[in-house]
Amino acid sequence: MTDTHNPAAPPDGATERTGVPGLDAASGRLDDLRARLGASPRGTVKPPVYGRHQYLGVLAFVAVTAVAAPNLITSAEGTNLLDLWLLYSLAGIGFYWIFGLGGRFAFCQTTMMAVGAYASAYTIERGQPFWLSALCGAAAAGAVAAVVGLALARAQHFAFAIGTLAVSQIGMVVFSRTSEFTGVNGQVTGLPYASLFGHTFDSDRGAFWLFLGVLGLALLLGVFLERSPVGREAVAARDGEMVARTAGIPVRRVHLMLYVLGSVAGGLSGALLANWQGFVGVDQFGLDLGIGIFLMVILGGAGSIWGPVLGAGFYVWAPKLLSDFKEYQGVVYGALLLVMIMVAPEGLIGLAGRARALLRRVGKGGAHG
Amino acid sequence: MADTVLEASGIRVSFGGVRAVDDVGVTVAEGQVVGIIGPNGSGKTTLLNALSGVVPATGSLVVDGHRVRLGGPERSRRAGLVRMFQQPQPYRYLTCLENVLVATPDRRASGLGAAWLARPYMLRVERARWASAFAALERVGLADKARLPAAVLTYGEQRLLDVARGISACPRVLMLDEPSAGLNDHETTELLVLLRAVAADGVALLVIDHKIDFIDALCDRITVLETGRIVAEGSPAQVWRDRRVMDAYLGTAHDA
Repeated sequence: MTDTHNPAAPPDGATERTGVPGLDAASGRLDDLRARLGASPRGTVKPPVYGRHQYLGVLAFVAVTAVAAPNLITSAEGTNLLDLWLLYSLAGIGFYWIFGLGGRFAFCQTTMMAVGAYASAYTIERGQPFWLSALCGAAAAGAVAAVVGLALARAQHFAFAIGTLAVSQIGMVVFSRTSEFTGVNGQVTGLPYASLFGHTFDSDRGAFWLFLGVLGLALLLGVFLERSPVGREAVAARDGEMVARTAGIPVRRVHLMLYVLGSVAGGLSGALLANWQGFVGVDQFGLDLGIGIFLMVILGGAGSIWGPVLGAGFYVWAPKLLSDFKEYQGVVYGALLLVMIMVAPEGLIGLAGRARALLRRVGKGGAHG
Repeated sequence: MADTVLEASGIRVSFGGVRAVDDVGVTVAEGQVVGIIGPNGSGKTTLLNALSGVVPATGSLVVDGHRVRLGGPERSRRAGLVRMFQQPQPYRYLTCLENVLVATPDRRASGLGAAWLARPYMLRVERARWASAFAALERVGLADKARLPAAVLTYGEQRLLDVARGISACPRVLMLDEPSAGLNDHETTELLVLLRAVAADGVALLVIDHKIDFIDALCDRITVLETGRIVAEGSPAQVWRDRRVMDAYLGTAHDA
């Protein structure tokens, strides 16, 4: 239909877009096919519509999680993992803002979590209330990110990744020293439980509600951000920097903003983690978790704010579900990752989108007889 | 004669000792279309790059009587210079409408504060922006594709999308780099009509192209470049009569 509608298609023009003709031709054909099948084009960000269903999506997510999770998951270990999932989701959303929307690979998301954790521990030990210390943790991470982001404003792609890797290495060294800020060898212990409005979240089940509320708020702010000129300009700055700049978009400011914002989410996640566990240890925020957060966003899908939430779920629960394999657990886990990357290169959220498109097509086919 | 909008003089661009553009000047008046032609490698695109601030350059650039410092895409854009690239540059993951919106000069309520704290105001401003972006799409004939991702457009449509983006940016000077490349005769004619209409609205147009018929029909004046220098300029009729143009430009083009 689209072809007959447009008889003026150029004979050869469409095949040469970026100088790799074979690749572009194949890619263009795949796009056409997807368009004809009614699927959204491949890639990271779907064209945003200013519809309301996204807000309802956040509401539904919070409601379903609030009802289902406490009823389905009753074991102590399960409840603990549930809380961890919510906190990692928050940090993952931060990384999604930096990497998914901003297109900049920041290695130092765990460093920002550590900054948030130490800063919040520092303020709470000096008698500040929980909410203030958590905000301090988030703000401290934001401030560090602002400095790093300004210093690396001109760094592109790999240079930015290396620069932030350097920041995370410096962070590890600084945090593992003994000081008033980081405790003895980077260990701060004996932090009080989180409390808000006179209510103390002194159990995993109690903390669940706090974390779910914070995550819901972060998701809502994320949806607001994407359904606004900010989201559009972030995608433009990510996918074609020079075009965006000549179009008048302050690309560096957009990148800096997303980096600071993502780091604030990381810092908040770290602060909540510290108060929940009652201690801060430098080992918690090593490169392992750094790669873990990357994994969450890639596995879940870097093209949607729901990607990191799904990915964090996988990251938290997969090792638990694979514990039956005992000494082969690592091998099975690695193989599972490999299969998932092959089956769903756009992440779990992409898989969900494909399933939805398939259902819609099956539904249409049925209606037509 | 209408007011001069763009006045560039003594523009020089060097790449590692090679003078890609050497002491080139160009003047465009309101509603005027100036063509830049010349063989491959004569510095046409580099000249546009210099004016739009994409490459470091020296020389003087005056837009609407104000001096503009070269070398900053944001500065050139603020002065009213809007650039269309040689290759169509659609954002594949944005809809056509959003692709046009990217270039909007209206930057009200475009920050995080408005997105989070003043959504009704932000949406009101957005609706006004949508309307003008949609009008630009209508003008180039892409209105029915407004909600489709730009990735599904044909090559010709992608070019039109770039033109729509250029129009909606409310430019003082619109610079187009081979707008007719990859278009068939019918599409080229449509583009010609469209660009004349844009110029008639008072926009100054600076156009690079290889299609002689297209340039001849579109332009009021033509500047011919060869190896970074101006070899001829004047009305189309004057330029075609110039012996050096025949040698330098047409000869080379036909030999290839």
